[in-house]
Amino acid sequence: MNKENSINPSVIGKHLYKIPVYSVLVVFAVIALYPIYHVLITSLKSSVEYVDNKLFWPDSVTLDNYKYVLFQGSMMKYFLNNCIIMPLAMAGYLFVCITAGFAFGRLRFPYRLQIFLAVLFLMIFPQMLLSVQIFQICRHLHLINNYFGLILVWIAYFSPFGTYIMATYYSTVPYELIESAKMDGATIWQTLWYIMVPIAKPMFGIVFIIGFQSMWNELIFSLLLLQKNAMRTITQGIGMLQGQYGLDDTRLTAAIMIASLVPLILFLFFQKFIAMGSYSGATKG
Amino acid sequence: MGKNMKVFFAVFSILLVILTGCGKSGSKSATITIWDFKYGDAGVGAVMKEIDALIMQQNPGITIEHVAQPNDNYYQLVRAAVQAGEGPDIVMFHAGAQAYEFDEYTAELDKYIKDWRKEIDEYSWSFCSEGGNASKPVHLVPLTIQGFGIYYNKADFKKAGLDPDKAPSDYASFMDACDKLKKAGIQPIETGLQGSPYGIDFLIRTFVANIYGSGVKDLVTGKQSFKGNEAFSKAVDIIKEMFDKGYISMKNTSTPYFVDSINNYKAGKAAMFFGLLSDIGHWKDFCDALGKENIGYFPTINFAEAPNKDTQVLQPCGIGYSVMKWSKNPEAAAKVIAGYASGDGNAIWMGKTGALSPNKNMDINKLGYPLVGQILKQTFATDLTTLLTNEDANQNMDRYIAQYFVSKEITKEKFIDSFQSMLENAKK
Amino acid sequence: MKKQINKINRGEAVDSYLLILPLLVLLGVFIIFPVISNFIYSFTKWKGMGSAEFIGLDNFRALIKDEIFWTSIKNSAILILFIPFGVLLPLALAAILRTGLKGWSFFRAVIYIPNILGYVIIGMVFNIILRDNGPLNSFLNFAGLGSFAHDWLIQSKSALASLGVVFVIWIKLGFGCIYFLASMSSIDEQLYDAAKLDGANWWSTFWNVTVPSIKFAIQFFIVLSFIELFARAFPFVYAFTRGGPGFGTFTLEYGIYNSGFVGFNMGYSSAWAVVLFLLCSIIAIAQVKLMKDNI
Repeated sequence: MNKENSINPSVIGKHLYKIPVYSVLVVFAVIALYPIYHVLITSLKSSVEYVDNKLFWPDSVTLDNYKYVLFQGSMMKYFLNNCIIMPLAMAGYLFVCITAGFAFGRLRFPYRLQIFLAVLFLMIFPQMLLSVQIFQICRHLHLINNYFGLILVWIAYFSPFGTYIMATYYSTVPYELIESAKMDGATIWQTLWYIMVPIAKPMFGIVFIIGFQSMWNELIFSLLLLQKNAMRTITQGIGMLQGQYGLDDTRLTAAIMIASLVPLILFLFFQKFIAMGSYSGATKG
Repeated sequence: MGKNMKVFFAVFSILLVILTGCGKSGSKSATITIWDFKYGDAGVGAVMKEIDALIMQQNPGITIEHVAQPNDNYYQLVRAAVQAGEGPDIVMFHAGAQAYEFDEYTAELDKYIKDWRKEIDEYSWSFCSEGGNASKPVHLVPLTIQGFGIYYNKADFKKAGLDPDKAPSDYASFMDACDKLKKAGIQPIETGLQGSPYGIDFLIRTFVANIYGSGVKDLVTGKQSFKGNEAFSKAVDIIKEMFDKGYISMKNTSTPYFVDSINNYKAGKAAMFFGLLSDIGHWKDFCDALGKENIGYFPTINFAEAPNKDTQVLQPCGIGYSVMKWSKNPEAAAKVIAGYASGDGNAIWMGKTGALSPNKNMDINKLGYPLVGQILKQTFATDLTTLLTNEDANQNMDRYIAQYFVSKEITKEKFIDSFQSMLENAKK
Repeated sequence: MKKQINKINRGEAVDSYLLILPLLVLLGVFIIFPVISNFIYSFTKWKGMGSAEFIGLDNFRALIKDEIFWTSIKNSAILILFIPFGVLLPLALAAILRTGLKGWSFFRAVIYIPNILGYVIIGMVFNIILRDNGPLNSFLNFAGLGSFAHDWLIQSKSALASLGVVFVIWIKLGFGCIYFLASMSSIDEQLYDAAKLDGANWWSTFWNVTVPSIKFAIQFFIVLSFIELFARAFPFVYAFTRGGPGFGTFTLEYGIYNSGFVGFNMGYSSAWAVVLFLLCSIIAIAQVKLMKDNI
């Protein structure tokens, strides 16, 4: 690449060593990207073309599948619903993960370990095992067809994992930071807000993304708790589109593209923050 | 003070609007909520919207709120509503075992259907009565009848040197037709094998009707069985032969029956199709795509061991509507259902969706599809799956079929044992 | 002096409990209570509505005799064999990326994308990709490996292997990579310098410096892989194969679904869930032990 460097044999050796590494990376990148590429090209084909052209870029690109899915299939409406639920759910989720993660990771209190381990234990249960009973509870609490109910259930189900990540991170923060803040007369809440939240930035990206994608793609709870068409989420929307006898691949893929768009964009935005988590190691090496 | 009062009233009235909006019981006109697993389908949904509008026009004071529910999780949601003791006024059910489970929670309809009961055959009504017992009250109004049969493409038959007007009537002529089609370079049978191989499932249910006839019900009482039955064994062999000779293409292991293989057949990719009588993959679908004159039909492949020749497998009701016991307006709800099952609404329903209605007032000839008349002439026998448990009827049966015919991972003995085990489950 | 510390700690304890209260309340209502109810229902016959009838251990007796149940146990056991690859691959990739290749941040973003899509969608997409006429087989034919091409999801063995490769390895590759990278960033750079001075090559540095330094992260990731496999795979399997062909990719979770939400034998389904609970508990105990050693 660089003419000046290429004269130096040791530099050539260094670059040569990188060729197989890059090749491996490229292969993995292709494997990671191909599925979404395949979804994209399928969504741009007409169902007639798809019968004989399953693999290649469409001869004639059509947006009909998107039109159908967005308007006749009401994906637009479901999408707007997500825009209402997600910010609230994420705010609650981050609040719980940070407060509990901070307490478990850095503070000292009786039964800390026992309670933390219990929380981790509860992280494991599959949705399948909980869903029927969660419905019963929400019914008694009048939380059926109520976004608030779904948000609470989501936070309960997904925040143990986020808490876990935050706790492991906070446990690496020196305790002196808290003590010195305490010396300065800061309350725990001030310490949390002014010291602990900024310091945990490297972890936010990944906690945020994990929470967001889990909730955005969640199906089983939302299905039981949101029974009105006007309230449904976009992931439910794909199921609705499939109807009784399934959906053409071309339309299905269009629905998938629409449902994946926001998480993908958010990820591209947040991946900078994830980068910070591994920034130091990468540049030092 | 006055300002405060205004604010108070404003807030109060907003609250009131919200509360009544939630409860929807404050207004005088009856709002009837329908839950439906068909409404989500854009095509059927549009027709239903039309019928809803008609019913609302005919019955001022009734407002219909039609809610599409996801098909895959439908009964989970209905159960959740039953547990909650509240929910929609009208619920769509698959008739048979699935509907009977809800008998305790669905209203008795006899007094509401009195006026037009005679329009629908008692055969259908008894199937829709409590537990399928004709002497018990009716709990479900049938919207469709459903069954299976074999469609063939006459042009392909001609090309292969077969008589297009003579449907293969028995095992020998069927296999001969397949052979000739194959030699002429035409794929004899199109049927999707991916996931659930529904076409094979339908054919087996047809054969069961041919073998046991009116005795299909005896399978679950133990008077009849699959295991040790020579005719059933032969039926399995016949299907196996279609696979072995390539009449059913293994290229279709990647094709889902719904809707890909139906689309393939409509595109003329094969000569024969194991199809349905109502909803989808049926006479209207194929006649519209391939020409009315070009589609032939025969109910089954007759073979010597099966005594009930040409018997058409049938569900006297495929899907129907029930009124839930908790409905505050059962009378209005029953009117809505009547709007679907009889009169102009029913005509729209049958004419535009290709559903077969059990309503005798519907003039089939008016539809303009002579094939329907031919189909409905056959003798009927009960469909096996209306007697099985939910799990077996909806998933396990197709899994056994896939294991034996498609993956070829179990023996024939094991396959028949598995079928027998479904009967044992149904006895419990 | 001692008294003062206790006083401070008491304040900290009260604050701590306040901080974890929201989480505990939510878990109590939406997780613990359902799990306990599930246990109770496993001793009953219940159709998902109406009242439940107490039948003692009948559900468990039926379960032991249920062939499908044992198939699902066997399938889960086979899928465990994919976990070592699912851990080693992202670990190796992270170790490569750690040294700061040009364009690595782009690459890291790219391999995380599968995680963003959600399991239902990935299941649907791979169902299309692995079909007989799908892209994978076309690629194999193109590459002259046509003899390997077949319908991957039609035979139990290849379907289960596909499930293992896609769900256990492929999906978590990106997350594993980023997680390991983040852990590696806290490794003291002097350790690498020392290794370099000793003349250690890349491989021995990997085994002797990188791996031991992030031992905890690796153990955590292994536990996570088990959790994903036993308790998070359902949406994927449902969209990917529906447990088929036959019962070829049936997992315990799928059994809960099939008996509970297709057959509506909720009591029997709860008994399946109890077995899954016990298996998950073993994983959880392993995890708990791990945490005890490290926190």
